[in-house]
Amino acid sequence: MTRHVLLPASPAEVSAWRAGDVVFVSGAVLTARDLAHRRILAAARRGEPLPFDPTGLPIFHCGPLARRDAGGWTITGLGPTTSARMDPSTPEILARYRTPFLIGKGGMGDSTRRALVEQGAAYLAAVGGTGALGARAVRGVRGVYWLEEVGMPDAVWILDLCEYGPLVVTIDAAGHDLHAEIARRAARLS
Amino acid sequence: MSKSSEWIDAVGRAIREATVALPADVERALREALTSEPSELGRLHLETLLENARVAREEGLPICQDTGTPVFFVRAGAESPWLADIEAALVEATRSATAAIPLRPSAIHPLTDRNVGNVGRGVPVIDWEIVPGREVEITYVAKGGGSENATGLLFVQPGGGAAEIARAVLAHVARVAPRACPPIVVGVGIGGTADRALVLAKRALTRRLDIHHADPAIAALERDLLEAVNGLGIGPAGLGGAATALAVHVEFAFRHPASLPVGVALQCWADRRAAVRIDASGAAEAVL
Ligand code: SF4
Repeated sequence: MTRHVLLPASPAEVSAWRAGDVVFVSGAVLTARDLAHRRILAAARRGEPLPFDPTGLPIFHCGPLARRDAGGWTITGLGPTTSARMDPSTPEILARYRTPFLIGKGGMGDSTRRALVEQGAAYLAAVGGTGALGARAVRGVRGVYWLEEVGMPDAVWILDLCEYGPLVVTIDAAGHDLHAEIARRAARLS
Repeated sequence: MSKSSEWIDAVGRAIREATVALPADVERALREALTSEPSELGRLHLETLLENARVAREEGLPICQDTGTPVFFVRAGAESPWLADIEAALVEATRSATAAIPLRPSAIHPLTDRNVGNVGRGVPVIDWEIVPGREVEITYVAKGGGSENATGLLFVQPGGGAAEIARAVLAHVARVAPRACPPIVVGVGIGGTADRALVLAKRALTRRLDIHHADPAIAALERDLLEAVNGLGIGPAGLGGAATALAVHVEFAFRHPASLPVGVALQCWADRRAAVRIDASGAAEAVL
């Protein structure tokens, strides 16, 4: 089914999503790639405060393309990066920050799948390579962090999205994993 | 205007063209895939890709936020009087296009993670091929990280012929295609030494999608492989369907009796490329 989701999404709401559902999201999400994941966890483990609060925000595996002018930031490209790179840090991130869902591409490993089930969270696949459409779905930039330290793609961006999608629920809170299903079939057929 | 600033302009225009406008042959192939895609999710994804390409072209926005590693394939006529100055022009064109379009800064020091923009040691990537003649043809390809990570170097048991090569390539593609933003273009380089096999695979990606290899046996292998890849069920965005690849292009070289390296390079559906020709007088023009 097709869902139009207004953030923040409640855990009960996310738990009801099923693999194969098509979702359009509106509201605040946080972008983080592997480098940002490692920095978040390193600070958290040392008990240092972060310059932003990831609690309850969906995490988007994305390194945006942005332009800065007099009026502030304009996002000119927005789309998913390969999620598998975030596998090693994701279970701990999900547990620490009660992340309701992840957005990325290519799916994730089994440890992440188990962590998603434990938290009642989900993984949504965005269509890779649709940066122009993604940019049009950005209503505003709420903040950008660590830009000087790690550069534009690896910085953490908190973005306000409007009807961003189509996203497809590919790992649901019940543990169904469309990526794994398709990979098994492809391996059998090759 | 000096020759070199004329080239910088022409190459800069090619970089912009590739970044925001999907090549006509790729768009055609996506439309064809849409008419025969049995999966509903697959059709939704193909429609999204085409809509994204339209928005990118109309609004001058990059097709994908990963504007890629800049790669130039240069087919340089050995008798061109301009060879000494071309590399500097390609580097300068990359630098100015990065600021003007802008491109995402995507060149990172491998040990320190320091991001230097799109010009650094070894970047842009420049592949030189010396050919007869006085012209220089430069093809720009934006190579996304997702598809680059799907590159494979396979060592196939020699003596198994086309069937054994096809089996190995198919097994590799089945494993990595979902993460390379399908529908993909598959470049295969057969033979030579290991490094040559990969270079051939990469060069195969610069060929127009609707052109097959001139050698009928290689063209037949291309057709068989495309059919087999599209039978894997991976589909658009890797979420199921028929359109896993838009084309398979094969190049080959002779091999050592004991060794059969096969390079497999994938390009994502955002197959961004554009070309410029510099003639013997030094004049630069876009190649359509
Ligand atoms: S692999 Fe996907 S995300 Fe990367 S450049 Fe290609 S279309 Fe964009």
